Amino acid sequence: MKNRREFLKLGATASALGLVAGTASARNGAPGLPFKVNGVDKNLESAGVFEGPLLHGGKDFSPVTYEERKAVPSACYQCVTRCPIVGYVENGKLEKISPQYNSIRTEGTLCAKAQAGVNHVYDPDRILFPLRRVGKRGEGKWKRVSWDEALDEIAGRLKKLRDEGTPEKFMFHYGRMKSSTSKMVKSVFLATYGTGTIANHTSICEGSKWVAQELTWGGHYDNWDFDNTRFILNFGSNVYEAHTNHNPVAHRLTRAVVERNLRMVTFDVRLSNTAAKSSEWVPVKPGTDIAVILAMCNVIMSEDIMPIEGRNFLRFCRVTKDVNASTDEKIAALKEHLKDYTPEWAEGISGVPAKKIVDIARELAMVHPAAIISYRGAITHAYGVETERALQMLASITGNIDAPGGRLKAVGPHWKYPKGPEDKPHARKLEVGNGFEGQVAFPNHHVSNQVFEVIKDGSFGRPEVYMWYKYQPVYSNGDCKTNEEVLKDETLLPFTIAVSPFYDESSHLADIILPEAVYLERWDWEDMVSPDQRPEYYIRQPIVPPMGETRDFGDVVCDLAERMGMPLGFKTKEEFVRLSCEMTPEIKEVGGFEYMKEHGVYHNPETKAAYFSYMRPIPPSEFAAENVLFDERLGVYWDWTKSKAKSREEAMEKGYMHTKNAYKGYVGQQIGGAVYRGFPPDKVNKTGFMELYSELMEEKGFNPMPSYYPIPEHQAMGDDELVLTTYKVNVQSHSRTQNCKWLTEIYHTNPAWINPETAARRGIANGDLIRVKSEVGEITTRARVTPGVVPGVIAISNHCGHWKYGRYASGNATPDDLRSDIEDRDAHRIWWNDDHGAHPNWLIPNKPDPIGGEQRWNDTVVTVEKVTSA
Amino acid sequence: MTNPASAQAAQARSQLYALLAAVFRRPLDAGQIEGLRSPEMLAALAAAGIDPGEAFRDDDVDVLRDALAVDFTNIFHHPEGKIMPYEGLMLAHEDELHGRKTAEVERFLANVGYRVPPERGEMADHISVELEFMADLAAREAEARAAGDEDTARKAHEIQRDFLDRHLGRWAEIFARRVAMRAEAPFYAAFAQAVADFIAAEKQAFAEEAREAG
Repeated sequence: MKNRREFLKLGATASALGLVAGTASARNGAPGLPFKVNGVDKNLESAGVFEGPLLHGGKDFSPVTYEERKAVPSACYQCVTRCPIVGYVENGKLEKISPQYNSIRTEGTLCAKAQAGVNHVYDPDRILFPLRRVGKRGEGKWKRVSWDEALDEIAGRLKKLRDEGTPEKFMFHYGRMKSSTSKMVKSVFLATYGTGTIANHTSICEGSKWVAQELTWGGHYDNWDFDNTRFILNFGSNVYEAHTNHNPVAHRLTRAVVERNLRMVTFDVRLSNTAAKSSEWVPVKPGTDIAVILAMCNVIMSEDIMPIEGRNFLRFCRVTKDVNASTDEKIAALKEHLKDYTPEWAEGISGVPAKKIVDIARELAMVHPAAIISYRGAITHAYGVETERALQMLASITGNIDAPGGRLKAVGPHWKYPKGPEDKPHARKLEVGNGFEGQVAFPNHHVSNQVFEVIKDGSFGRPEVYMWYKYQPVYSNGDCKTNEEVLKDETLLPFTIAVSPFYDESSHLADIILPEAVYLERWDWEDMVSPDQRPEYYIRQPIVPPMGETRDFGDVVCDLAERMGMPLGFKTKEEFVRLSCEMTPEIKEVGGFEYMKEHGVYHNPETKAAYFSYMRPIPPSEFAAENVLFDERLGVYWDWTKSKAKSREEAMEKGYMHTKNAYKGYVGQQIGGAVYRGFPPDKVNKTGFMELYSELMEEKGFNPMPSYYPIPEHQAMGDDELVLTTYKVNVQSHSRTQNCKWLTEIYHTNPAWINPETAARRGIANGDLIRVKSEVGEITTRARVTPGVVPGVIAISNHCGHWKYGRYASGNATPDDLRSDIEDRDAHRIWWNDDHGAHPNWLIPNKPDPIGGEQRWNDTVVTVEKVTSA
Repeated sequence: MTNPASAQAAQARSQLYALLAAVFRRPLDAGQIEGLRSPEMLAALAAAGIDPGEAFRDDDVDVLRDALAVDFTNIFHHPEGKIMPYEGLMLAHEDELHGRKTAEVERFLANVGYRVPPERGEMADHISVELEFMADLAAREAEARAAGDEDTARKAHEIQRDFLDRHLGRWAEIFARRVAMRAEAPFYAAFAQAVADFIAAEKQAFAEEAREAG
């Protein structure tokens, strides 16, 4: 080169040719750098000593300039809890996330994951532009395309399917999609389009817990009243570290333990941090919690120590086929059902000493109120529904259902929202979301972990366009190998679209990646339940604008709908949220959208905590209304017009239980001489009783009362075999937080926990490299030899072993050739880059609980051996 | 006093900065490609020692646009191999988007009355934004010189020198090296090298000016 003069000629030539009209940006139709009113940079001039008072929350200040940062109320989305937050912005950058001090859910607390949300926004590996695959699927070659190109192609394909009368060939598969996004996408966009081929991720989350609740007291969620309880009996919940309402309940538990010395007994196969912080950890063999629970019920009934609260509550329970049975008849039925479930029997199955079962059962009968709690440690097994049903029984007979201090029907806000076009088509669908025929008795929340296997099988058809949103089908389900094979196979899934802010194991296999704005750049109204039994309304709003060309998926579906000629009635998610605020009376009254933007959260201070909701009487004006039928055998009043019955006569002939969707018309339950709200059904046609006796289960060939069914694979295990259990830790979510450097620096590897006795038999010492094998795969990891796990079990946490997802999670970001040539301090800064842990899902087959469809995360039989050669 | 020669030079510098900014802002469209490979432009490129490769001269424009877009994506957007054309990430080895260096560049821009409009979704220390900033300053210098406003022209000139000293001049060469390592076709490597060479020439010219002044 070349002298400067030649360069300048080049510039002049370019200009003469019109290649540089003004500035480059102007040429592309985007605004150029504006020349704003000139002035001195305040941030450089105003530095001084901040002399204001120390403030506790609600404000934040720049450590450089001491100026107050802009506070933007919003909502977290690191996990399903979705806590209200406040983001602090300085010079357009989100610097910090703090709690929302006005939230009655969080009471001004926040977990580590929430605070690390900042890392999502500024992740150097996030996808900022739409990408179109070039080359083979999975080859990793991409072309940046415009949104117009991407959406025109997608809209073209979708419109063609719809025009041909096969909208069901568009399959939408979502993961963590909730609240306003769910309503916009599922209830409006997909419903207007006409596909019912929609799958979710509930079966890898907590499907069986929900099904059990639907079979007993109706809809989920359950809430645990730690503020008012005197005793906690915990089966398999690592509540201090992970929960669907984590921070709101965990900080209340901490407070109860610290301030009231609350006693908690935890049954778990592993000394989780929750077990360690409990008054007592009772080790139990995997999947046998139900034996302990049934034996506790046995002790309480056979020793006649049922507390008066339990006896009174039986009035609202169905314990026999006859809904009019007396309390004494119900007690007799319980005793009869439970008589063989003795503590000694349970000891043989669970390994928990009979005396321990008896002692805790007696304690539970004495100490009132008690919160009896559970989660995936106890539930994600074959017949996990039965474990949760048994817990409902234990809580019922001790009077701890929906009463202060007990296990409660959770309450959340009720947003109104625009429903979109009125003339929606009847949705058509491919039956690929509920597992194989007869595989699951109650697929109320689908069997999405089986989706790829059903698609591979092909008996129920295959989608032509498969789009997933906020979901990681390859990594998050079991049997990663099969997931990869199916998603990669263009003959099985001809066209795939990932909607994701990040390049993960699944978007790697997409044909088009639509880069979503991260949750701190998006709008939503939010509705998670409140642990203090009063509903809290809150919104998510962009704390900073979307980076690059990323877009809120809510805006994208509006755009897609327009391109297909089916406008939804709103153009953006922000508009949807604004309209919802105007339509929701409680919010409109206090100032609507503007109020929510300014405050972020709202609760009505006059509202009282909701307990004993089942005792609300139903007035005759409701149960004697024109379309309401009375099912005499079941005592249920129901509005047949809300069911699928075509006529009143058909409804009367089939009856409540056997009319499709009859539960949607449920009005009340006759109990004694009165009609009560009872426990309204959801998803299934149960009565308004707390159903400890389920006729629905009986019709499916199961015992109507909660019963023990052994886990098949565990009955004939060889001497060399172990049970694999998985778990979560406090600073990571299952699959979506590992790109957050603050979190992954804390937790990035997951050696397998193994009991010293189990390890010794295999010649394994602490830190040894081990190979774990199952029927579907194998992984290599390190052993952590510890008595904190029961013998015969190997425990591996969920979060590690990413092979994509950016530099922090997997080390895959900047190629080695760049690193070796140019000194790159980043590489050294990620000091954990030689160990990203191992992912246990390679080992776990996709097998559902035969009752509720939940993925059986904690049943897999494996062999473990020391790796002796390199 | 009006200085037409300097005004012309500043204008040409501005145009070149703008051209380079456009090349690295997003994949080129067909119109840009056709313009860049017009005979006059190819001659000017050759004179400046920039060889965009044979394919650039000969391929069908749609094929070329696609190929360049793939290469651009591979260089700057590939999820697992991209180079990050930001001063903070490339020079300061920061480990996040919108890091301290971005804020530093933002402050520099703000001090002289600029900001990147949020709706552009771009960070201030992206190579194309820094080039565009220089293009705008040089254009203002040219306008001021043409209008005889020597005071404004001098200020605009000084700000350019300062910005090269503090920011763009410090990493243009690293940028070129990294693009060369990642690029599959010659086009982007050649233009990245042009950025480095031009910036080097600019720095030298400013240094000479300083020596002459004093």
